Amino acid sequence: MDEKPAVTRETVSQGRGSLILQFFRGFVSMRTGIFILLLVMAAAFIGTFIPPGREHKFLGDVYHTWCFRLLLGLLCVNILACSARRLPALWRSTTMPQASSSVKLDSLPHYQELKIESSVESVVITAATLLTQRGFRVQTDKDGAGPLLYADRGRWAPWGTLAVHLSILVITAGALYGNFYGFDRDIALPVGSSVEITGSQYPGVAQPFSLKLNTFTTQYYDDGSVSDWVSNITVEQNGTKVLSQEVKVNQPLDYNGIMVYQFSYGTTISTQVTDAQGHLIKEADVAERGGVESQGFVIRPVRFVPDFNPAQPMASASSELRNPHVLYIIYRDGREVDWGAAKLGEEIPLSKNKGHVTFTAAQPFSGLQIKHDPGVPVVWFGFILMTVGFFISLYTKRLRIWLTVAPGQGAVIVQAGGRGNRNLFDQVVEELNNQLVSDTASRRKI
Amino acid sequence: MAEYEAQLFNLAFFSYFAASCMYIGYLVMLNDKLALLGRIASIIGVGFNTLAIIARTMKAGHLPFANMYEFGMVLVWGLVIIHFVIEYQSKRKALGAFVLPLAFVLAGVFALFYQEARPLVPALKSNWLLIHVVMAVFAYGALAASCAIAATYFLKHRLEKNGDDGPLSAVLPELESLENMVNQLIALAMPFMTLLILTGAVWAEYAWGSYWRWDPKETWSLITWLVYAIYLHGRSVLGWRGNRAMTWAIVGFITVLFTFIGVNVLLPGLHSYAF
Repeated sequence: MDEKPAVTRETVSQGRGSLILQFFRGFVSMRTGIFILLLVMAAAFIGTFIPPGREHKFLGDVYHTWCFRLLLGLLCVNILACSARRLPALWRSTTMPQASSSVKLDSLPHYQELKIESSVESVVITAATLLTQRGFRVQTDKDGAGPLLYADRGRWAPWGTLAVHLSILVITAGALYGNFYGFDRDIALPVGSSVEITGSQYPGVAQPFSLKLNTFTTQYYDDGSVSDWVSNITVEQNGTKVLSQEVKVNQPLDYNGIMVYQFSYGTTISTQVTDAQGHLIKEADVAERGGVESQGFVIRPVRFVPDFNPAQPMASASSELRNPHVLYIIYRDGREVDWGAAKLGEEIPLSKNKGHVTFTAAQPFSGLQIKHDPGVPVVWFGFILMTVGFFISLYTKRLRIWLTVAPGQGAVIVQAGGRGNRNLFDQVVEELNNQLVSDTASRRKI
Repeated sequence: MAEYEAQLFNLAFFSYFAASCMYIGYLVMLNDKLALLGRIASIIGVGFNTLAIIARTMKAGHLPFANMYEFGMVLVWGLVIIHFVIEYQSKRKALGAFVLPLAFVLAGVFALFYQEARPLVPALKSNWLLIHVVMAVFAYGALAASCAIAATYFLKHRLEKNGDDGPLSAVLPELESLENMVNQLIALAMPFMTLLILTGAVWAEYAWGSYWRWDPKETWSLITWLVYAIYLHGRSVLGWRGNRAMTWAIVGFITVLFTFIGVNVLLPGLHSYAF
């Protein structure tokens, strides 16, 4: 302090530094964290009211905007900072003796004063015994600088709280990891055919293999409602069969961490378009409600009906291939020009002299989702951490008690201060009072 | 018995209505007999509710967890059971005048969504259904009770503000103890609400191939969770007490209701079979 403050750049930059520091302190405060939580909540709220598939021009799919991701990122930074800041105090309160810390008892959240006809020593012994019996960890003062006795219970509760906060970071990390190193693709696999799963299309697949769809069946309950969609799938590697499994909605196939889910189903319709001279000009396998374009026409096979009945064209009379038809619509310049039902192989004219369209075959397919998410184990670990943390945090009664005992006029005055569970504090102090009173009474009798 | 599942739930509904009237009558006339009648009517209500759950299980061939009506009847059952625990522990008969009307209204709402028992749709055929729904009953039941007690807080607060310390105010618990009850219920519910979301996520990973898709149901469950997370921070760190904390508790339960009922009705998504 003997140096005169030199008004130099240094002090100015110190001023700036402290401003940044102040901003940083403000940012990492719990209040900021809660404010970010509110913003996340508001964004999530808005997002649910944007109909899926028809994303808003400006908002888009809220949850995948950089704005929303930034919010989640800020939240993670805030959680990390708040947790780190709490850690030293948490460590101290768990491990270090508290008795000699200078605590002002009457400014603690819970406070009571007792007046007992007894001696300081016997009060301390009684209190220590009682608190130990009630499951408290008791420490008595060594140097006489502060309260005589410190006791606590449920010291793991704040560690549970910490675990919950860290679990959010773990889950976020797992989600990011899965996003970067995983893949997720939907394929339509016709019955009887195979698909190659290779590293070039599916990053992270070390040894290519193929999935073959043997059968696809829809199972029904007695009342006619759907019980399950079942794809019978064989995994082949280097031309040899590795495993065969039924894949259902709640029963995915897991091959070395590559998951195959039953996702959808339908029929693809082989469609041929010929010109007026009968030359084939277009051929495509089209999914139901899909479309194929040719010469300004859009041909849309709407639905495949295996057993067509003209009286009830929309419903198949059975699932047998007795009278296979395709219900179709043909558009030209965006307007419907023709619609109807065509038998497989039947030629449908495309207006005058424009050729024909023919639906040659129909094949059922199973819509499979092929996914690899290496982040899932990390996310699961985060889930466990969060659950355990919550139970420890909220199902543990935590209470810290500080006691001072001072000699007064003909009696000692016990001051009890506490932080934590109110009911437990009141209960313990009442028990202590009763115990001390009965001790005094029994001593008098003697 | 299976044929009478709907009638049994209607009987539970009327019993809860009678119990609500008795409990409210107790608050108005301060006659202990009415509170006793309220308790008897709610016990009868739970009896019918239990029978309705059993009958529905027999008729559907699975536990009644497959749609809003089925889950609703179990939720109301859970709420009234929680009410018995609270009444027994607090020894306060007045709380029934707030919890039972909520049970009665919820029973009425779910009865409106009645639908015939059906076998489980493919997406629900999983062992996760049981654990997922049990978590929901615990969590939502406790949160419903917390909302009813927060409402009690506001009545008591109003009476005190008007300087009314008459017999009505005397039968209501102290403001601080009402606040503590609300807080305890929320603290009790939070781990279960977390498990509700997490079991749903794990299940979705197996059934839908993704643990989180921002489906409206998922998003709203997250919003609800955030509301209560903010409440917990507010109470433990920012020192929220009184009106602010209790308002937040009521807002929380409104978001629960929206997650549970509103989303099914207004926002179609993967969960829409629950409607």
